[in-house]
Amino acid sequence: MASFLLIPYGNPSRRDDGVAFHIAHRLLERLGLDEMDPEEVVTYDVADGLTIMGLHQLAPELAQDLAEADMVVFIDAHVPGAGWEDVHWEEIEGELRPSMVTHQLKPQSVLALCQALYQRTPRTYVLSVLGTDFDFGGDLSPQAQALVDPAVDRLMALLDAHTQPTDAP
Amino acid sequence: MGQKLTIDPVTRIEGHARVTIRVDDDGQVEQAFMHVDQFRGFEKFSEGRMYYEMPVITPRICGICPVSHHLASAKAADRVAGVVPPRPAQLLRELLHMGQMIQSHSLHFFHLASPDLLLGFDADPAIRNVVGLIEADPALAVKAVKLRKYGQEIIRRLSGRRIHMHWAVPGGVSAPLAPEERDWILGQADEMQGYIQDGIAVAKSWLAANQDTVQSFANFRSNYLGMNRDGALELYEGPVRMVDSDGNFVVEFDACDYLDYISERVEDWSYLKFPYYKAMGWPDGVYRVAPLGRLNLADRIDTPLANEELKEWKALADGPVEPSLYYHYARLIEDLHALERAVELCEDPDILSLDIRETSFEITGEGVGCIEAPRGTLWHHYWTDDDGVITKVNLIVATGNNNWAMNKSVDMVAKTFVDPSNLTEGMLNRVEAAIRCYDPCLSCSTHALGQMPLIVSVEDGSGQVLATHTRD
Repeated sequence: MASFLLIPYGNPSRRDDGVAFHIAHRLLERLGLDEMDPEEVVTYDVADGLTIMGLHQLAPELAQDLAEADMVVFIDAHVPGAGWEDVHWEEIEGELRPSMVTHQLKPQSVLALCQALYQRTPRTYVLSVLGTDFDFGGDLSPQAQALVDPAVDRLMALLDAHTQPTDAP
Repeated sequence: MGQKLTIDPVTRIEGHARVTIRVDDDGQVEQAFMHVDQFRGFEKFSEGRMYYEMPVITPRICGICPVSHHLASAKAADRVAGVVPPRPAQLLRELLHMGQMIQSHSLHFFHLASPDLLLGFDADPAIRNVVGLIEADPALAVKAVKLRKYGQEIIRRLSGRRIHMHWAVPGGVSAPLAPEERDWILGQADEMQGYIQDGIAVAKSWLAANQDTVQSFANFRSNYLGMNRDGALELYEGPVRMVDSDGNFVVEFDACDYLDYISERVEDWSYLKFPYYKAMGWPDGVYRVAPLGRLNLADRIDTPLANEELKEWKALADGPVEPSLYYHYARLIEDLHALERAVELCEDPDILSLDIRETSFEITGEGVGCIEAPRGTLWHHYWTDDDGVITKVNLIVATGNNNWAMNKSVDMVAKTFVDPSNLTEGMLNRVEAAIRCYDPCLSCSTHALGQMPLIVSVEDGSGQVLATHTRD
C-alpha cells in the first residue's frame, strides 16, 4: 500500500494546457469518485490516501507536500516540439536549474528541492499528454480529448499495481 | 556587418521573453532589448461575459499573482455594479492582498534573487539555484519555503482555495473570516517576521559589500509611479502619484482616471506596450513601478518596523534610490510591511464581521479597478452594456509598467558586462539578473511541458546564425 499524490496542473482556460484537469476528472469518474473539484486539494480513501492537488503552476512550497507522499504523479500537457509520445510517461529524479525570470518550477526542480530540504523523495512520475491548441477556451482539442482515456489507463495501472497488498513496496 | 545575440527562453506557447543583443562591426554591444511575445488576448476573450464573472476569469491570466487580478477585477466589478463594499469586506480583501504580497515577494527574493547574490553571478548554474542555496545556508532556505507557504495559507484560509478563487465578488466577498483562521494567521506572524528580517539582513549585507557592482549595474534615473496615500506607502487603495527623477512631486490622480494620464506606446518588436505619463510625452514620461518605485514615492510607511527600514533606505541616496539591484531590498521592506499590515488587519474589530457584502446593485456600464500588485500598478477597466455584459476590456498589467525600465536595464548591463567575442554564461546571467530585479511576470498563461531550453544565438546583420549558446 502507498499514499499517492496526483498533481494536475495547467491553465484550464487555455484549452489543452488544462488537459490535466480533464484527466483528473475522468480518473475520479472511473474510481466512482465523481463528486469533487480537481482544482481543490482533496484526499480520497484509496490505498493509504489518494490526494489530488490541482495547481496553476508549480512553486517551491510544493516540496513539503512531496515529502509526505510515497508516490507522486505530475500531470500536464506537452508541446509538439517536445519529441515525446502522445501520452508520455516517465519516472523522474530531482534536478534543479536556475530560472531566468519565471516563477514556476519543473517537476524535477520541485523534487530536487524536496530532497535538499527534507532528505527524502517519493517515487515520482510525469504523465504528459500532447497538446495542440493552447488558445483561450475551456474545451480540449479533439486530439487531446482522445488522449484523456489512455492517460487515465496509465494512472489506473499505477494505482492497481500499488494498492494490492502483495505488491506493497 | 553587425551581429545580433538573442537570449531566447522560448518557454511557452505564448508569453515568453527574449533578449536580443545587437553587436556592431567592431564586435561591441551596440544595443540590447527585451521582446515579450505575449499576445494580450485575454481582453478579447473576456468580451461577451458577464461583468461579475471577471473576478473568476481574470485570475487565470497568471499563476503567480492571481490574487492581484482577482482583486483588481472585483474593484472594477464593484464600480460596474455601482456598489461600495462594506468596511469588513474591504479589510478582508486587503488581508488577502497582504497574503499575496508575502508569498510573491518571499518567493522572488529567496528563490530567484538570492542565488545570484549569495552564490555569485558567475557561479556554476548547476549550483546557482535554490538547492545550491540550501547547501550554502540550509536554515535560510527552510525559512524561505515556510514564508512562501505562510502567504499561500493566508490566501487559502480566506478564500477557501489555493488557486482560481471565487471569493471577492461585486459588493464585497462571499465568505467571512473564521476566528480560528484569524488566530492561525496571528499565531504564525512573529516567526514569519523574523524570517523576513533575516532576509533583509542578507540583502543589506550583500548590497553594502558589493557597492561596485550595485552602482554599475542598471543604475539610471527615471520617474517613479505608484499608489500613495498622503505620502505613505499604499498597496491596496489610494490615489496614484508620480515623482520625477529628483524625487519632486509631478502629479497625483484618482486611479480611475488613468486614461487621462497614462498612454501606452506600441513598438513593433514586442507585444508588451510601454506605458508613460501623457503630459511629459514619450520618452520623458516613462517611469519605474513596483517596490523600488513605491519606496521612492513614499515619505513614510504606516507600520513601525517597515518604516524603520524605510528610513535606512532613504539614507542611501540624496533623492531617489536608483540602482536596480536595490529592488531586492525594497521588495523585502514591502514584505515586512505586508506582514505588519496583515497583523493590523487581523486585530481590527471588524475583521470577523459578517457584514461582508452589499447586494443593492445598479449597473453603471463602466468600472476601473486598480491595485498595487507585487510587480507594480495593475489596472482593470471594463465597459458593459445595460445588462452588465462586457463590451470592452482594457488591462494595464503591472509588469508592463516596467517595460521601458527592463529594456533600459538590459541595454546597460549588456553594454557593461557582455563581451560578444568571449561569451560566458555569467555574462548572460547578468543580463537575466537585470530583468530579475523587476520580478516580471511575463509568461504565466500557459506552461506546457517540453519547452525548448534557453538559447543564445549570435547572428550577423542579415540574420545568419554565427554561434549559439544553449542551456537547460
